Amino acid sequence: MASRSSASRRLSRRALVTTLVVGSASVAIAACSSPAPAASTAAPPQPTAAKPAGSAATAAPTAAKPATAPTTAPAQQAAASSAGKVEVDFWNPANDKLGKKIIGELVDEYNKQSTKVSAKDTIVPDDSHYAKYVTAIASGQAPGGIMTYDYTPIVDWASQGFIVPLDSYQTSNGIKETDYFPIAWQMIDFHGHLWGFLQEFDFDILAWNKSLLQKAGVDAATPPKTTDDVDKLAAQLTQKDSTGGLKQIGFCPWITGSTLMWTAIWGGSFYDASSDKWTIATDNNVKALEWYQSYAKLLGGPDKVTSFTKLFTGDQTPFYSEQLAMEAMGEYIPITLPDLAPKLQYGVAYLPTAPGIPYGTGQTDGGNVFVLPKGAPHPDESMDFLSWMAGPKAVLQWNVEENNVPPVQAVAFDDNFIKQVPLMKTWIDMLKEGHMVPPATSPVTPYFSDQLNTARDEVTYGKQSPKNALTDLAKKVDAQIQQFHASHPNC
Amino acid sequence: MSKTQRGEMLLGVLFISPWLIGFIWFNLYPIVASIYYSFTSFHVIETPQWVGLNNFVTLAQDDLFWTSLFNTAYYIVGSVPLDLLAALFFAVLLNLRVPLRDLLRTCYYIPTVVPTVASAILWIMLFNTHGGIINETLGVFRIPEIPWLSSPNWAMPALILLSVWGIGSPVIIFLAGLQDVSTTLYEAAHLDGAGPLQTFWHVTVPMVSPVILFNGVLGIIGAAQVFVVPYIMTAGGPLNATLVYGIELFQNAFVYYKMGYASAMAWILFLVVFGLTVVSLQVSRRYVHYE
Repeated sequence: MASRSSASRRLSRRALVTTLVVGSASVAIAACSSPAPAASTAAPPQPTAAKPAGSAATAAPTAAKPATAPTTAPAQQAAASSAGKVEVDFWNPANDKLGKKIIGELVDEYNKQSTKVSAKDTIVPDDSHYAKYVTAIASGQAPGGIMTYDYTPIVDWASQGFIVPLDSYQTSNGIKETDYFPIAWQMIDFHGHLWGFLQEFDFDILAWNKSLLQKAGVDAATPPKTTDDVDKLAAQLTQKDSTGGLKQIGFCPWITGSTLMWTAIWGGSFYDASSDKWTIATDNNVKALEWYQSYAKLLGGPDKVTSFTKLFTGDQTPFYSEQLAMEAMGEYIPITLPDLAPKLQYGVAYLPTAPGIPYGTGQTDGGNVFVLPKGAPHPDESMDFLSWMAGPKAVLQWNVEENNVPPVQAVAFDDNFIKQVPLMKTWIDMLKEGHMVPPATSPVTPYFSDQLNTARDEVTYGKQSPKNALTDLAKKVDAQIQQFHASHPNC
Repeated sequence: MSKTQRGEMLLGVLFISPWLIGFIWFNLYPIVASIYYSFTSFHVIETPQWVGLNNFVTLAQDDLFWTSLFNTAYYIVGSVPLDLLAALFFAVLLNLRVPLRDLLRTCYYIPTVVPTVASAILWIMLFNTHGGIINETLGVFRIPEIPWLSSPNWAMPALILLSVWGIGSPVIIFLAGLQDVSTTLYEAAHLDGAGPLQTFWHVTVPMVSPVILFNGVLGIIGAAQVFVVPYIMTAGGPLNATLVYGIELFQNAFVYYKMGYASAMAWILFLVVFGLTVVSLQVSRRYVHYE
């Protein structure tokens, strides 16, 4: 047994445990504290890049500093580097190979030519409704700038106050509404304010598999121009097995393309932006859903279609696997299609339209938008960067390499641009027809989109008639609008 | 309290302080905050506005709320008894002295540690109407293909069947309970001429009834909060047939940014689960036997 004197000299168990606990708690608290702002790399100033040859005169925003800037961010420490550059954290969802490359190059080029701002390319995938972006803004940790791959969040974010209007930048950067395609302008300018800068916008046209049509003894060179033509071809090209399961589908409106688009070809529209009114249960919208109903009967029911489409996973689609004869195709597809379906022989043409509806009618599908989040640490520097990214050089590079449609008419219709994107000619021609339907920009659009899918399913599953389904949908949307205005009296 | 006791208490608090700080900041504060938010109109970035019981009144008039509540009740009624029966059945089998028993126990537990998202994606393929293993197996017995995930009538039964995949934890808990059953009871039953089924019903089940209650209550709590599997596999469809409470709550909170409304939904769910737990405990007084 140790003597009392030796026991007193040894570290007691109590003291050891106390030391360990206090030490662990200290380490944990230190680890949870905010990191010190990182210094950005010092880059030597570069001369401003010249405009590329062939870019048409455009009113797209330049890198000029605006006269006044809406300062909404709380005071925060500037992440200044030894060269005095302010870092702007640019969140974007470009985690696809091509998008990542282009954004990386553009950010590098901006950083080389900017003497005041250093942009940081942070890829934040857009899964789950951009939840990470919203969480960051709500928690006061907003990035310097945001790019989205579609416009639908913009409407919601604008109505909820997540993003800052850019009206003052519109004036100082010389942005004119008349330079833009009206359908593109309405994506970013609504409810009296400009909410973002548009990099490109998307819409679908009809694509058909030439081999499948030839095998069925149909002229593969002439596209179907009306819904009747499509219906006849669909019946000819749909094949089933002995159990009634689908082996090949001629056409199905809910496999590709949005309900909004397929309603537009029937002369329908769900939302009137000029009056901010929903026009849901109209006759043309009902006709569109009756058309959906006819395909549910042709194909043996939507569960058969779902069973068929679930066979295709990842990048493979029924069209790429040559088991879907006709589909809606976005303008960004042809550039990647040779990698995914190298043997596919296909043609593209305007969307078919219902009797009495002009050939060339369509609807915008989305677009890439640059926005300034509420609480961005350095709004002026952020806008300098975002203005450059939405400027003529950057927009042209993106749209040429990604095969997307520029939002400014002069650029899209410029011969030099079309020569660089020959695969996109039909999409550009369809824009010239001037029969495109604008997007819905109501704050309840996300709710409407979900419930429209439910209404469509109720029709295709035979649970409701198209008229009743749309009438119910209209009531639900009205209730949501009332709730929204009750909670947002100033909006 | 003596100085020594105070010192020991302080030491104990210091010892658990990392967990305590985390619990207060990441659990208790959000719980208390959500009670407040449930009485407000709160859209994430704006200041919450007090609306009293308005959220609860609006919920009562919301068809999707009742649809999601019904679907969740359907899931609870289907999955909890099925999972309990399956877990008890496999636990009894895994309690027998058979070769490779430890390996078999491991095999039955492995699905519990497979990430839920990966399992859900795997099961989408298994449930595929054409070419899925389940329908191919049914085809061997000349049973027609079932449109599992693409039919409003079959989608929820598919999810209920899938819940059996995750019975690893209840099996382990049942195994622990079965170890506690005294062998003298089995010997006595054997001497009285009881067969296997009679022994199981009159000896095993009463003796593990506390464990059945425990697993049942945990099963109800887990089933009421189901989210990931239906979200990945069916996204609440087709035709809202698998729109469970968790998905509707998620939509209101993170898609429509109606945080106050979603908080009200969360507290209604808590009250429902609490009520079911109280009912279970009341019922257990008659049917659960403690030594």
